[in-house]
Amino acid sequence: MITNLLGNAPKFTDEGEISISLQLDGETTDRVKLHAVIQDTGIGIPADKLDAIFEPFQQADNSTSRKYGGTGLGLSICKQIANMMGGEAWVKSAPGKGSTFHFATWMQKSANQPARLALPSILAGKHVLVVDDHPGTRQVLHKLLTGAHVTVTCLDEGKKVLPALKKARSGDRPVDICLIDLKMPDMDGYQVAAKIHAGFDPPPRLIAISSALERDAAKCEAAGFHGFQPKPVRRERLLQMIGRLLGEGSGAQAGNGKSWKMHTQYSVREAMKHSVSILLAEDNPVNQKLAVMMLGKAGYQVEVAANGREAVEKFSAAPDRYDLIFMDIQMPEMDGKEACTHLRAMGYTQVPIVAMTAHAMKGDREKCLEAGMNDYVTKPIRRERVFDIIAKYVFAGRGA
Amino acid sequence: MNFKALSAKLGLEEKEFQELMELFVQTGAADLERLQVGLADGDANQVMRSAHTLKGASGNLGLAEISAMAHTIEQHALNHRLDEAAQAFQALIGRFEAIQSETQVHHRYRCHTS
Repeated sequence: MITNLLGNAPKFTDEGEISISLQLDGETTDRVKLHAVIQDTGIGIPADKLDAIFEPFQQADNSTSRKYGGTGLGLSICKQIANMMGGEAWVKSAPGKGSTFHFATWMQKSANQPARLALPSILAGKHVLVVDDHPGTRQVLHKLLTGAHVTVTCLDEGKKVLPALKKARSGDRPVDICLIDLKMPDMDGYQVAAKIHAGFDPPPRLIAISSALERDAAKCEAAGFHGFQPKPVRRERLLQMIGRLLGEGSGAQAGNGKSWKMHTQYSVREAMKHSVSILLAEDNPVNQKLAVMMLGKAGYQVEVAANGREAVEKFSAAPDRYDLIFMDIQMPEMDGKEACTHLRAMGYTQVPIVAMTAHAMKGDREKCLEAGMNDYVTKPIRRERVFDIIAKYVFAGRGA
Repeated sequence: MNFKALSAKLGLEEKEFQELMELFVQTGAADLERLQVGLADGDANQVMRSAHTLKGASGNLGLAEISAMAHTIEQHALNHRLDEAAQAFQALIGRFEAIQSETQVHHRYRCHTS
């Protein structure tokens, strides 16, 4: 449904933006009413055609179908599916004003509840300044941060930053962290960061936020950024990073024995690595220890599962936490291939799973790929190969 | 055995490598025991599994000789040639014990000097 509606929007939108949001319209113990809204700033639809577009083989007019193509079946199928699911699909629009498609229905709740990490306690009462020209991003970040009991100020232009910081510093709420979009029309994020450094000593901690295309660690460091978050910004990551920059790791992290080092000059490159969390499924204590040392020294976070069953449990308890799974093949209780098959069947299709094996048998590679793994490294494990894999699946996956 | 070179190859400090070696000597002894029991019971599967574990761990640490010996045993067990596996096992034990004592000497030396 959503794919279809989202696929339509760009066809009728020459400029502006297309947004998708999901609302919770109702909730019972076992069901939720989800309401998807797909909004565009496109050509819009005349009032007298609004009903017709949900009929088979109808588009707003014949010239439309010539220009925009399509069979005219998509929306009627959407409506029928919505009805069959006991839900509804409708549209609000006016010519030149864009269109907003809605789809709402009751859905069964999933049994798998992603676990949320405990918030770093240091966040409460801190003041974060968000600078982004895009209203959608400001809204998302505002919601995300106020949810963590942070005071948030949002600005839409780089040139407003210095006055706002001065005002905050002279008042009783100095700014602790600035989240700065790198790409803004009036003054880009690098310039804003440089200006902050020139005007404030000590400066607040600066985190660059950026879409996939702009990701230049060296340039970020040179401009004086202390951290980096790729868009779309992920809640856990951002809050962990803010907590760390403010000088404290979260209780959950410390409890796992992971050490957050204190950095006065926290390099962006390191920050990118520290935001990568790896689940290692490996039963041999020597290999476990070696991998933890090797990856830990390189700045990555590692958690160990001693067999396949434990890996499935750990991952499904907190699927948002891990960027990559390294999976030994021969393990007691549940081997790597079985664990991978389980995870894929549970719906975790996105997380890269890479086999690690010293297997002697031919055709192993094929078996691993068949089980749903993305790649394969042979033992003895070579550092360069492991780091290449991480770069390939984690950083490339984030659009570097 | 050159601890310094092996640790450098893994990008680790010598002290960290020493820790890994001590762990390998401990867990490797248990794997060898399982391997031996497997040979005595004629359990090719168990021989294969314990040899495989030894091969993986030693290979990762850069102990090429041990790893190659374990690989040989694994292959013999895979082909149900347990007599040949038993012979290779004797050689493996010898090499393992040498590494064991070297690791201990290293440990004492380090404690003494540091």
